[in-house]
Amino acid sequence: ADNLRLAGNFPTTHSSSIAMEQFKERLPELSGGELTVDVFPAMQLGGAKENIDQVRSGVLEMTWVGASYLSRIVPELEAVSLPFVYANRDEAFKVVDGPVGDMLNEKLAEKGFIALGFMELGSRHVTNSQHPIKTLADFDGLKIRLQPNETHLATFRALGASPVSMGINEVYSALQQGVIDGQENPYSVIESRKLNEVQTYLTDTSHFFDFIVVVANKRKFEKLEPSEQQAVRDAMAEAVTWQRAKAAEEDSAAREKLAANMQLVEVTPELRQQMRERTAPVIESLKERIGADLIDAVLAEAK
Amino acid sequence: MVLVSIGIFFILALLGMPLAFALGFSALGAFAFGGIEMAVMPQSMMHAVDSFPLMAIPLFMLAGEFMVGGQIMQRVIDFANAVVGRVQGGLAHVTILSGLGLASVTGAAVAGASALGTTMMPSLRKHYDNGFGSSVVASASNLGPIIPPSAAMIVYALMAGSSVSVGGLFMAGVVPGILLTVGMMALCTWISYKRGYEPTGEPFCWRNVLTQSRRAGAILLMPVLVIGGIVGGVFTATEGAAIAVVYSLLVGMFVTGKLKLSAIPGCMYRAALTSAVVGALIAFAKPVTFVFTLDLLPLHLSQFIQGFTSDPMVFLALVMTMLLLVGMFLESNAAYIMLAPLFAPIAMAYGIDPLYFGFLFVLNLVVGMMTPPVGVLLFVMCGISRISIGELLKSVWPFIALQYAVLALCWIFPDIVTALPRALGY
Amino acid sequence: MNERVLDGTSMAGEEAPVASPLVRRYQQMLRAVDGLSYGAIALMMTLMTGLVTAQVVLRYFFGDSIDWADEVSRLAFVWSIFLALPHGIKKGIHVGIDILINRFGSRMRENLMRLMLALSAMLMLIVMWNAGMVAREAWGEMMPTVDLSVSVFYVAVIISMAHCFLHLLFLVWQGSDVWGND
Ligand code: NA
Ligand code: NA
Repeated sequence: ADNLRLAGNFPTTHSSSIAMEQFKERLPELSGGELTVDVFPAMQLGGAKENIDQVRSGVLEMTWVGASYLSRIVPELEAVSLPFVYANRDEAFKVVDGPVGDMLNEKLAEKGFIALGFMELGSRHVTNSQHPIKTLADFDGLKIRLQPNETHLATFRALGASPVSMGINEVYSALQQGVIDGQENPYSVIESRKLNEVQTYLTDTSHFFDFIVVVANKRKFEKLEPSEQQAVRDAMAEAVTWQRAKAAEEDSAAREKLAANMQLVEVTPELRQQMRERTAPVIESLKERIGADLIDAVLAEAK
Repeated sequence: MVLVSIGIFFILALLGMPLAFALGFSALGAFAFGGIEMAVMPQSMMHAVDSFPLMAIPLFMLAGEFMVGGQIMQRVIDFANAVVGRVQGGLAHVTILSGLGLASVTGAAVAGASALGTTMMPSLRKHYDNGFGSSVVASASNLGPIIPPSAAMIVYALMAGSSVSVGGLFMAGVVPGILLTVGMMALCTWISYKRGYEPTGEPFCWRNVLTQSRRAGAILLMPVLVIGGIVGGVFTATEGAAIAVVYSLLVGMFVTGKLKLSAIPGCMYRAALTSAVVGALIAFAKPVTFVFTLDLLPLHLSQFIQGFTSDPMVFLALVMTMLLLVGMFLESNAAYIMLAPLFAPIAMAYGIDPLYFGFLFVLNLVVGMMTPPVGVLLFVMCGISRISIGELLKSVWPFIALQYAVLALCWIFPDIVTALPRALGY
Repeated sequence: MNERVLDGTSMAGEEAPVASPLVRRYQQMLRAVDGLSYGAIALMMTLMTGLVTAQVVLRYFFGDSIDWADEVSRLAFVWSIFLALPHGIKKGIHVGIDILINRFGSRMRENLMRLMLALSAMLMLIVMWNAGMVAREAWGEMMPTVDLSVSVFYVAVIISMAHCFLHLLFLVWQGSDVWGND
């Protein structure tokens, strides 16, 4: 009997952490009692970067983490986070569950990881305090807080905004004091961080769709019996399925709450098309960096 | 693994190995015992230090170095002298108010003791006996980690997790810090009266107060700007610390004119050195925390304590007693690093206000720095004023008692601690 | 804790006996490394202070920010702490508990100190080796905002541990009072 260790940085109440608790319950059942797992959510064993380091060196067996953190090791993961590619979450999951997912698994395996599933972190939307964003021109000069990620920064520069990077914990007060005009996050984050208190306008841009990836250390995973490996995969697949449904539910609940006390602008097909065109060069430059095959595959699958 | 790690730590620490390295060894032993990849050592160590909030510590230290290098303290002392110099035991009051001023720009007691001691001890020794003077300097320096900014609070907030913000803890320290200041001044008046110390300073006159406050104005403005900025959310504690560095650099170079360009690298070196002592503890303690977490110690400990009592007050009394004992023997930074991650979550489970708990935790260990047998601050003071520990203890005990009295007050009346931060929205 | 504080307390060791050429060479080498490290610390502290300040000023007065300021200031911080760590060994300011060992005779205490320092030196080697492995493993991983490998963070640990080792070795070899008031 083996005991595995699984760590993550999401709070205990986050759908992904709850899903991992379910994984913890199911794994012994599916492995006939051969495998158990200890789950360490909420940064108990360190933040995202640290968890990834730990899994890479085999200190821990598994972690669940935002794909953007992993893309620093496997840049190809950026291919599934292109701006304005997915019309909805079904398209997003169709891509990672299809041939693109297989290609990514290969790339992850080259760096010593095994992907056990993709969960939903959420589709990102823009809020600001200045004016409703209805046309491309409305982005002009808006100071928007972004994560320190090249694709994200380039995308918003292409749209005409001026990106500001700062830690998420400082965002609320920075918005409150008008140091920055806006920010972008999934609905659930905007709601849980109460950013609606300091922001007036919400536009459902869905500019990026963020995934949470569950990865295992390849060397450690392959030491398990084939039946045990299958049990891990099956238990995780169940947890991932549950999380996706839960996240979707929470996402629309959060959207409704936000719409009740913010001015929600729905993006028109024309604006969406314009934003796509404006940010096309971002995708082109990414092709140069990580290769065109994968990105073309994503674009083809997402249709 | 937990037992292996605790065992190794205690043996090596008692045999005199520096605590940081004893912690490192104890983690190493546990990893070897538990078959965990050693890669976790450098990973934990590096990630422990790789933290934006922690950066406030060397920055505040550097601001303190610039203040000493720029002889900025002298102006604060002159100001305090103009205000309270003529009161019974005036020089002691000057020391206390200067200590308060120093505390509002620097974050550590020991550094404060050296700054305050070197500037105040000569005149204190002239008018009072060495023991009384040293006691006043030591207890005034101990305001450093209580009045914001505070290195101890930064470390605690970081170790306790996201439930406590540095800004909130900073604010929690203001009222108790002022209580302590007032208490110390009352104590000094009484002692001076009893011993018949002659008044020292110039007679009080408004003109002098005005002149001195103008001379010290730029310096007195600094805590207002820095702490106000942090509390008002204008900048984070770390950014506020950087502002303090630039501010004290400018004051030292252009207002007092005593800080020379050539002295700056030395200031930076000393600030880094002092921070590295805390940094080493944090770095080497992190893998130990990792061992504890991996073995589910926080969970088991929490279940054990909650099985023992369901009353938050009893739990609080237990923790306070434990910290009192720990504070007598262990260096306080090591205690924050090892104990805060274990007990802060349990306090949360008991429904104890995290700010209240955090502040009591910090104050307890801060008072511990002045409590024998092992009170770091007492030993530092002995070094500064060349006095034996026994002689110092003879006159310092009322000041220690006062600090424990304030600790007890804060414990019994949580509002003393939490009212201000709550009013400010923390 | 603070160098100025400890001056004149226990640090004022007696004049060391005349050292052998090998010891002198080693000490010279250590001094050179210390000097280099001193400069690097000042540089890192400057970079850290400058970046954090610049970030506030840019944000407030220009509504702008440097994308890489956060990352690089943290890097400078990590470097200054780890670079300064060995200097703390030289100055004997890393805190320890001495209640028990103070009861021993001075000879016994010195021997015990050397043993503890020797063990510490071993710890440094182990951490250094593993930091090297981790740095190699992470070499291809870039920081999100700067075109620099994340391993540069671990390089600070490697240098620090090596420098610590050199100092500890010297103390074990020549006794814990060897630096005196240096
Ligand atoms: Na302070
Ligand atoms: Na915190």
